[in-house]
Amino acid sequence: MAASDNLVNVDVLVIGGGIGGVCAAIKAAEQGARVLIVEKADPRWGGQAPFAGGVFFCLFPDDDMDGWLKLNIEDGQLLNDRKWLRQYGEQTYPRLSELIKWGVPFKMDVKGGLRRVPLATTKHFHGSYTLVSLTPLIQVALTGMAVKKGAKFLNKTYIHELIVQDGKVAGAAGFHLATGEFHTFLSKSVILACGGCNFGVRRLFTMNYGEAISMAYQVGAEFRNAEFGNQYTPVEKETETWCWGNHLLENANGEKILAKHFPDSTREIGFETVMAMYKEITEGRGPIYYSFVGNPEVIERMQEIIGPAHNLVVHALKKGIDLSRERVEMKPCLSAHLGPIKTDLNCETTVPGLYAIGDANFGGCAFQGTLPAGSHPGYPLPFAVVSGCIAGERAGKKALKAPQPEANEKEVKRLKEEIMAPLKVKGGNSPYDGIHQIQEVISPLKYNFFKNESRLKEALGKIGGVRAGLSKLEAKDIHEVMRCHQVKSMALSAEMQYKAALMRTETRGGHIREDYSQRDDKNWLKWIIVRKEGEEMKLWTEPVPQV
Amino acid sequence: MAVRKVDQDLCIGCGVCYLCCPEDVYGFDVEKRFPVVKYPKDCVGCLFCGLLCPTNAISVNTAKGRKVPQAI
Repeated sequence: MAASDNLVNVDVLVIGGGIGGVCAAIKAAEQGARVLIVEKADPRWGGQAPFAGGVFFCLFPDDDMDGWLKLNIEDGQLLNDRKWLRQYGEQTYPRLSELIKWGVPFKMDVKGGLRRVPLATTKHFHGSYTLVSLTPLIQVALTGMAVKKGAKFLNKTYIHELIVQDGKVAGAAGFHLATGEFHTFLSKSVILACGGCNFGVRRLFTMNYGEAISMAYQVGAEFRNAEFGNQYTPVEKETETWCWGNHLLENANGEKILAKHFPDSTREIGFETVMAMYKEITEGRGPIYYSFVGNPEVIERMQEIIGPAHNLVVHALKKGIDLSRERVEMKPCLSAHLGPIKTDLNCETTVPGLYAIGDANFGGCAFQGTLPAGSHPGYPLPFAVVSGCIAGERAGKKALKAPQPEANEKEVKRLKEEIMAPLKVKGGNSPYDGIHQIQEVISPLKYNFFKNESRLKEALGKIGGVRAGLSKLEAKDIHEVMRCHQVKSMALSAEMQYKAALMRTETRGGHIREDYSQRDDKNWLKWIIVRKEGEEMKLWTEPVPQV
Repeated sequence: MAVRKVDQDLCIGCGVCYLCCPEDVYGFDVEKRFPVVKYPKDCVGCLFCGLLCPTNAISVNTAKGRKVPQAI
C-alpha cells in the first residue's frame, strides 16, 4: 500500500468528535470550509459528554458577571488568564442559545424558559446552572447538525501524529482501528479536540490518554499550567459514580468532613474535599461516606440532574440501598483532566494553524487559574462548547483564504513507518505494562496530590524508564498499536506534569508541596511554560498579569 | 469482568456497541452482523454499550477489566 493511499484534502481537520469537536465542525462548516471530524469511536456518541453529569454552567444576562469574575480569580488563586476568563463568562449564554437551536435538549421550567438550578452550596455563586435532559442525546443532536451543515466524519479512526510544513500545521496521519488502513489528512488547519490526559484511572472519562498533548508537543507547541492537571474526585467505592454536594460527606463517626476542615469554605472545591478525606482516613476515622440521611429531597433531586452512567443515586437505588437510612462508602479517585496546551483567545496554539479546545486546553488557556476541568461541576461542558465554537469560526474563516498543503510522499512514508513500528517489534514489552507503570506513579495521592521533591523525582525516574522502553513496545494487532501510542502520550503527559510540579516551589490550589507548604505570591505569580527544544523538555516562567 | 456477553437472540446487529465504545473493546463480524467482544480486559465498565443497545442485549457492569492503582 502506498503511503499516500487514503489521502484526504480538507480545509479544517477536527481530531476528536466529542462535544467540543463537533461544535467546532459546525462553526467551521458555517464559514463555508470543507470540514472533516476524525473520531476513534463515533461522534454520535463521542467523547465524555454522553457520560457526563449534563450540568451546563451559564452566566445569564441578569447574573452578576463582576461578582463571578472576582470569585473565579480567588478560586483560581490569581493564576487566571483574566481575558480568557471574561471571554468564557461572556460566551456561555450566547453559545448555550446556539446549542438549543442546534437541537440539544435542555430542561425547561413550567413557564417554558430554561430551568436554572442553584446547585452550588455557596451564597456567593453569581451564576446559574442549566441541565441537559439526557446526556447521550447531546452528541446525537450535534452530529446531526454538523452533517446538515456539510461537515463529514470518519469513525473508528485513530490519529496520533501531526504533519507540519514550513513551521505551519499541514495535517495529520493515523489508522482505522478495525481494518488497520493508514490514512493521511492534508488540511489548512487542525483542531485538537481529543481531550487532555486522564491516565485511564477512573471508570468514566478514561478515553483521553494525552494524544493531543503528545501531538502538540512533538510539533513545538507551548504548554501552561501542567502542574495543575491533578483533579481528584470523591466517588462511590465500587461503581466510581458521583454525586453533587460534598458537604454531605462524613466520616465513620458521622462528622461532616468539609464543615470540620474547611468551615469557611463557600465553594465545593475538589481538592479541599480530598484533603479532608485523606486526613480523616489516615487518622483512623474512615471510611468516608456519602449520607443523604435527613436530606430526602436531595435524593430525588440528584436522580434527575446527573447523567445515568455517572449517577451515584441511580446506581445505589438500583442495588436496593435505602438511601434515606443507609450511607454509601466513597473513595478519592484521580480524574486528572490534564489539559495544558497553551492557546490565545482564539484557541490557536503557538504553532500556526494548530488549535486546541475543550479538555486539551482547559488548563493551558488558564481561564480557571489553578483549577483543572471538573473542579467545578458544570464548567467543562460549556468550556468545550465555547472553545470549540471560537476555534471552528476562526479556523473556518482563515481556511477560505489559505493555500492547500501538498503531500510530501517522503514525510508521509516516514510517518507511516513510525506509527506502525510497534507491529514489527518481536519479543518486546506489552503496552499494558507501560500503561500500568505510569498509573502506579500518577494515581496515588502520595505522588500526585501530596507532593515533595523526593517522591516527584522518584516518579519522574519511573516515567523516564517507561519512555526509554517505548521503542521496545510490541503490538500484536492494530488495537495494540493504539495502546503503544497511548503509553507514549501518557508518559509524556506525566513527565510534563511532574517536571512543572517540581519547578513550582510553593503550595497553590491543588498543587500541594509538603516541602513548600505556603503560597508564595512574591515569587510565584507566574505561569510555568513548557516546550520541546531539540530532544529536551524546556521549562521557564512568565509573569501572570494581575489585571 | 465488565462486559460479559452479547445475547445473540436479542441482538439485531445495529453495531452501536462497536461504534460507541470509547476503548475499542468490540469488533464487528460483518458477515454474521454480530458484535464480537474482542478485548474484554480493556472494558472500563462505562456502561455505554448497555445503555445504548436498543434491545438490551448486552450484559455489562461497572467493574473494570483490569486492576488500576488506587489513590490511597
